[in-house]
Amino acid sequence: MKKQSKPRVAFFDFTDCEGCQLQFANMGNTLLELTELVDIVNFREIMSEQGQDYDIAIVEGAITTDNDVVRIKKIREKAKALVTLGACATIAGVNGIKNRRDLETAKKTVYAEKSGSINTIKAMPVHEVVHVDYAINGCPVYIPEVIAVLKCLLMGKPYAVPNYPVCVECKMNENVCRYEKDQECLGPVTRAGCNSWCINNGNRCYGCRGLVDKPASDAAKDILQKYGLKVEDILNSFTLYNDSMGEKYDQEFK
Amino acid sequence: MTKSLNKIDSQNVKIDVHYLTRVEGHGNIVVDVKEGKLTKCEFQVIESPRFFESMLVGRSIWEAQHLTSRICGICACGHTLASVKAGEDALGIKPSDETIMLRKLLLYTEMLDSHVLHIYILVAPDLLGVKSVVPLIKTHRPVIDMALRMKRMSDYGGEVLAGRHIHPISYVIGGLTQLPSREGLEKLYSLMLESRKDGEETVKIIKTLKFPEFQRPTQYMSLTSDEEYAMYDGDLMVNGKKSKVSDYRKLFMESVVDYSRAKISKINGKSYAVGALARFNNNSDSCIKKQRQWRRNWV
Repeated sequence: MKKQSKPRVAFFDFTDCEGCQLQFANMGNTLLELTELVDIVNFREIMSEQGQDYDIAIVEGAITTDNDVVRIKKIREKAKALVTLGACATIAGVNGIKNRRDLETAKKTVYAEKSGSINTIKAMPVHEVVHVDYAINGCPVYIPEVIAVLKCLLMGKPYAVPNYPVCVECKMNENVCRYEKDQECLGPVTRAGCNSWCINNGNRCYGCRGLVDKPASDAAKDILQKYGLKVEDILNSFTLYNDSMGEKYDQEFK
Repeated sequence: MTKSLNKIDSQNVKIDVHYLTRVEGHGNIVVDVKEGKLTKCEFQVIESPRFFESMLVGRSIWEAQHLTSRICGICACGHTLASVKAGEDALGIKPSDETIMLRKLLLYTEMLDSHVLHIYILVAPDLLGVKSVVPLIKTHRPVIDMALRMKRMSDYGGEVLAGRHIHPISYVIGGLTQLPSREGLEKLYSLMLESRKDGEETVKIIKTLKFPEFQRPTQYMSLTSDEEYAMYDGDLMVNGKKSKVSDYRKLFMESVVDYSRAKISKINGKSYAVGALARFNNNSDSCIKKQRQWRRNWV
């Protein structure tokens, strides 16, 4: 048998929109360079091969069914390194919203009398079920960060996920603070690494990368107070992408 | 885990494609013919259920577009704009002509991006007898380079117009959070002009490919408009008949089936086709002159 010289990479998706995988197709020439460095053996969205032997598993999507749990455990057994790709995989993303409502109600709202045949469990980020080696945050993932993580992965080095808020990058980009424009913004407590993508484009931060490990909640509360807002005004805003961290922000801010 | 099992003789056909590849989303195809009689023919969407309708309950109208966009990362601009239009309709807001023109431009660039992806990366491998685009990088490098060049152009469109194609940032109810820069638009314009030759080359390349013979009777459903080749706004068109978009519930019948997580949608009790072909068949008279020329050369 031919000696495997390049690491074999497989892509898997769970509950998601597949947009983060598509970011790979949007890498242009970097994608061509990547195919010289690794062998892509399984990538359902763009290829028919379904190789079951791989070294690196890149996993997109939240875990939301019993079958998802079984599948991700099998993938973890085979992969030497497991990378989570995007908000659904890292913090459950928008899928987490259903966790705050009774699941039976959610099922009935969508599938009515056929809801009995629907399997669904609490939406979980991948790390809640199996060990994760590298995490790439964001909805969608930010290509420069994807490349930075892939470089670390291929060199066998750890990737230090930024642990400071989006405000740091936003200030460097010289944006006017959203609070000065009478908007609520989740930048002060949201993990950076996106280069303040949304604020650079005139919008505000919606928290798709999750909370920093130790959010400066008192300072964040001071900002809210300064601009005449209360925690309750923005708490619901957190649950858009971030519900799996619900307990954590409830603790921090309530 | 994933196997295709296809057994065919004259009286018995068993097709079990577990799952389709090179498409967005998860689907199985199961066909069973026993002694000349069709007993099963199912397209099973086995996607984990996501509950979008339920997610929307109790959320701010400004968040609706975030959720709608996350239905699909490939056509996120289309989903976002549909949600934004619905929000404006509910609030009685009329966006400016400038906003509408920029929205249309964004849709065109997304459409281009999606079609380049579809033709060169998802479909071409089938027609050339390979399993993915990866071997084509070696055997058809100039064509792949061209495809990536076209993709870069449309990606750049998304970047300049909306911050990004996948879950666009700056298009919200009422207008834009930030207008695209003049330099950005000028660069996009020159990239688009350069890209025209790649588009013409694409038509030539596609003409050399052999497509499988397949015809079926169906109903084509698309938007239609007297003013333009409709993509952003207009009436619904099916079987030569127009309906208002607000009559959606009268025209379409949705139902839940046991074997699929996606609902089944029918018009007049029958299946229908949407997308580029339906749009083209319903609106070919409103194509621009150049498109009509290409169409003549085609047949």
